[in-house]
Amino acid sequence: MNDPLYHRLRESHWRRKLTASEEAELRAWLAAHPEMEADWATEAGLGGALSRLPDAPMPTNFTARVLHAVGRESEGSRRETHGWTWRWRRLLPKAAVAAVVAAMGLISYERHEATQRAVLARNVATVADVAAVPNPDLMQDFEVVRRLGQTPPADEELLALLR
Amino acid sequence: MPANLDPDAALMLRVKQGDTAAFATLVDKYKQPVMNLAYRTIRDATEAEDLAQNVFVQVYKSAHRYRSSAKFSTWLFTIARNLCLNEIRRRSRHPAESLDASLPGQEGQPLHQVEDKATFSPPESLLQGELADKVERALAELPENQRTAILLCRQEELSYEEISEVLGCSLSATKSLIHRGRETLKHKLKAYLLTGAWRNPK
Repeated sequence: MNDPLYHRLRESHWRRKLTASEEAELRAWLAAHPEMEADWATEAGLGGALSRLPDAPMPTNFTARVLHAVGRESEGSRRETHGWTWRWRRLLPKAAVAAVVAAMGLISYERHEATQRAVLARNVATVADVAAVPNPDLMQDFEVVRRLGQTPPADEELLALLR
Repeated sequence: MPANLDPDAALMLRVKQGDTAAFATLVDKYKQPVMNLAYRTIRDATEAEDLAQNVFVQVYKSAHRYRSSAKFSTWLFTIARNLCLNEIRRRSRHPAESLDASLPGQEGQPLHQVEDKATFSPPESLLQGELADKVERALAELPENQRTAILLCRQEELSYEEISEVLGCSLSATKSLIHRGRETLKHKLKAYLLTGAWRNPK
């Protein structure tokens, strides 16, 4: 049955007891639709059965237990926060020293790198200067001059015999 | 603070400032509905108790994220449902031995007999007790979203729009879930609901 009035009354009945005016509306509607009497009877019976369901067992100290649990939770989170603060306070000086040492190390490294780069630049400049003036005349007797120092030493015994 | 602020939202604003008395008021107000949802989802009184407790602890821990524009009960039941779903997932990964399982060759005899220490008040009549038991079983057999929709429907504070917000689906889908769930329950309980004499539906 898709009658909107019946639907409305049924949906109201799902949630609460019908008011006197709604009851009157329902009686009038059922009088006009006697074929729906049985449907309403089971609907009303189920509504009654559901509303008579006993409440679940509830311990008398439930609220106290909840408050205790909440207190424990709050204490736990407070202690955790406090623990973190305390740990940070202890670690802070060590962390500061470590940060200073790390900063000094970084600065030294940077300076060393800069010095190394300067030396390298100077050497490259020197080589570049030499390479920039290659004079072929200067290189003409290069091999002879180079070999001068490589001549074998005089045979002293032979010289003595010749004398 | 706006004058028309929902009283629960006003309490939550106090909870955000660390007011445990306001939190206790909210716990007192909502502990039973949350416990009912947890118990009917996981069907274990002790675990439901732990779960309900976790729901409120979660509410307290997440209080800073609560916006007063949102209705507190919607927010609370969303947290409750999420924790219930987590528990269902956990159970499916680590299935426990069912206390309802029968002994081999002794159908109908439970594997374990455990004294029911639940504090349900004794039924007014055997018939009522039987009906309640059948309804509980039929509810337990529903898909989780249909069962949760039907249970939240019993919370008069929640509108259909708010139930759909908790379930994370549209209004029409929510009504459809409730309708289908109720149809299943009616089918399973029809004989009993009409005549009071239980018969298994064909």
